[in-house]
Amino acid sequence: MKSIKPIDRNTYLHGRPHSPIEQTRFIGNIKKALNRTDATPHALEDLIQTVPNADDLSLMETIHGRNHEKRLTLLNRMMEIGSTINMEVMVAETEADIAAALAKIAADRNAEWGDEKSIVAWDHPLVNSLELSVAMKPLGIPVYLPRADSSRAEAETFRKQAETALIGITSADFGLAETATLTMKTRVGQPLHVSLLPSIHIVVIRLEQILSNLKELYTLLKWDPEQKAEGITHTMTFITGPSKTADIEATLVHGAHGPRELVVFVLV
Amino acid sequence: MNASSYISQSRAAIADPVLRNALTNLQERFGKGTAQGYLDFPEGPGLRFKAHDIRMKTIENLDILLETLANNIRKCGGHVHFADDAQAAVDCCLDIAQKHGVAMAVKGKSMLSEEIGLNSALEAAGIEAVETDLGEYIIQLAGETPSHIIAPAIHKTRQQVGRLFQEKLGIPYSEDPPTLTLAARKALREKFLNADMGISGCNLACAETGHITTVSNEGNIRMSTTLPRVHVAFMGMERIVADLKDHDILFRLLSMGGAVQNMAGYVSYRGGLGENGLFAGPREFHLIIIDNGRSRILADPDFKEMLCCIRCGACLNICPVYGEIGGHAYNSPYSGPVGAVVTPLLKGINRHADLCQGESLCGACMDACPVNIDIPRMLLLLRQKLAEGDKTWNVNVKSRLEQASFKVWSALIQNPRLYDWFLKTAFWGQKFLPGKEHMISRLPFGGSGWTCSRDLKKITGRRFIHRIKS
Repeated sequence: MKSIKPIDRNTYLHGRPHSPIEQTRFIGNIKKALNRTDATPHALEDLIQTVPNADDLSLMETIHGRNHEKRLTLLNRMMEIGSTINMEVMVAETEADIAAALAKIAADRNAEWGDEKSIVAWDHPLVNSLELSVAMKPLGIPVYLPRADSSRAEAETFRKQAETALIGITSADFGLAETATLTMKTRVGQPLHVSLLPSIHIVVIRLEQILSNLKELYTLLKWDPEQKAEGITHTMTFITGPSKTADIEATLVHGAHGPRELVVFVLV
Repeated sequence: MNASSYISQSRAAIADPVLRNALTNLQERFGKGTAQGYLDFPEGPGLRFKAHDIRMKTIENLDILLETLANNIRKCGGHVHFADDAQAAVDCCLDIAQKHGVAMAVKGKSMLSEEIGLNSALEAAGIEAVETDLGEYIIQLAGETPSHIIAPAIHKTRQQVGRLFQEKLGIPYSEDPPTLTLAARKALREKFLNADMGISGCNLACAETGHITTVSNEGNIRMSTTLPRVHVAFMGMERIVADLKDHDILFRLLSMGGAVQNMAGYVSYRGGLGENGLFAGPREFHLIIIDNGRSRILADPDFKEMLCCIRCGACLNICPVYGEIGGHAYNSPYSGPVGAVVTPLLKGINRHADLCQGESLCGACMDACPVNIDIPRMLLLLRQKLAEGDKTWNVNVKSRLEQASFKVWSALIQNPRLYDWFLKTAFWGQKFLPGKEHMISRLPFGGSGWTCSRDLKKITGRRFIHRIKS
């Protein structure tokens, strides 16, 4: 590790790219290029919509008014699209069914990063309801959870556990049927690396969380009072299929850096 | 970086059957797939035109949008820096690295970082910079430069990669892509876990929410921006949208244009990380917004359309010229039709004069472009500037001889008598040139380039109008 030289905050702030002076000059260059004058009418409101229009409201109504049948149609679509990108979407009726299926996956697969098989999971109501520790006990596979109030040291310990884990279990905010995409915001107790470091990523969602497409998602994020209040958090992730690459002779290979397998359980 | 290098590198590429095979393979899969994909959008192929409008409106309001983005990121604890040129951007990154005592950085694929020469600057400062996109990793190990915006190692065969990994990673030789990918996965996992800094580009930032976005299929950018202590993102100043709504259309088009996908594997939004940052990941997020010649393009009404580009590489996958010569001949991180316009505009029109002249103007790039940029129009305009010179862009006339020849030609065809005399003289003169019955196989002097790969039909000595009358 190189020694850290102290930086004089004053020299750092002035004449450096992040000083307010630099920003004003930089934006000034753009204004000049755009031939902006003070008389040019331009307002942020013309660029960023601040009030939902009729289309937005009717789409919100469609989403919220969707019945069970229509949701099952979306689920079928998600399964169909998922199968084309090597993402398995499975339907489950009870939490116990999911736990049993998970135990089977855990028993079948080999450990990749550690000598022993292990599981890391989100601290999330739906994931907690699977009672994973109970399901994995006969297999002797430990299940690690982050603690919501964890300190930095505890968070580091949990990350080490994620680094060697075979399976990472998360939920998601939404599933998008048209592209088989899962979307996740970042919250306390739900670290980003659970969906990233383990060899297999498993997602558990409820049927009601499936939307049709990106447009519906963005409409909710933009106009739904609850979503709007939370914002999209410091990191929002969309996951569509397992990690893949085609960088050697344009040949598709799964498991480049992230999870080599992605399985989604939908609780109906 | 001159004429001879473009021509000689193109010649070498055309003579390389392995490369041409790889390029054909790439264009077969991606070029055709993308074209079909556009037709299959629920909104139909017209979505590209809508995207073009969105992009134009965005770049025409870049000042407001960038200020909004910067304010929103800072509000959430992120750091935003503005860099006029490559040097300022690199210095800014080095400052951050120094502040955090960075010894190793892992990088997601970013053509902008290639543009500003980030890797060599980091290495000069004693910081190990590891490319983590498989294609970029391969060419970094090989000491080469990317030959495609999305598939940087497309010029390498599986056998070449096999030998490279055998030598550099010490694994047994294999030419099986899954085995090779697994070897890279293992080697790079260690780098991800031990790196101090993660570096990414930015696909399309969102001004409204104050986030950048990154897109990948491998998950390497997620690793780079989730695991190290500090995340530094580089963003060309035009890579932004106003609000989330625009992302709907643009991400679908980007995924289709880039890799024939309905949706890319991973899309991540990253905004300010707040006071403590991530507990087991980056504690700080820095965004460096870069001009480096872009405001000059923005100021020219003829060229500002080029800033609509979202760097998906779709035009490379269809271009008949790229399909023959590959990416290295373009001498720039930006190759193919996009490179033939962007590279001269960013780095000097005279310096990269051959790029626009090498393209065929067939228009395939425009049809393949997810945001429908009129690349042929701008190629033609660059040629015009090279032919006539241009003060705003400091372009010198490329060839005085060519300019003079066209002046003579123009005088000739405007004077019927002189033209008749020229035809007769040329008719007799061509008998001294090598060739077959009706064809000339080699022209002398400056004309030799014309006949180096084709024959020229002999002239008849009489004007068409006279021949048709008799």
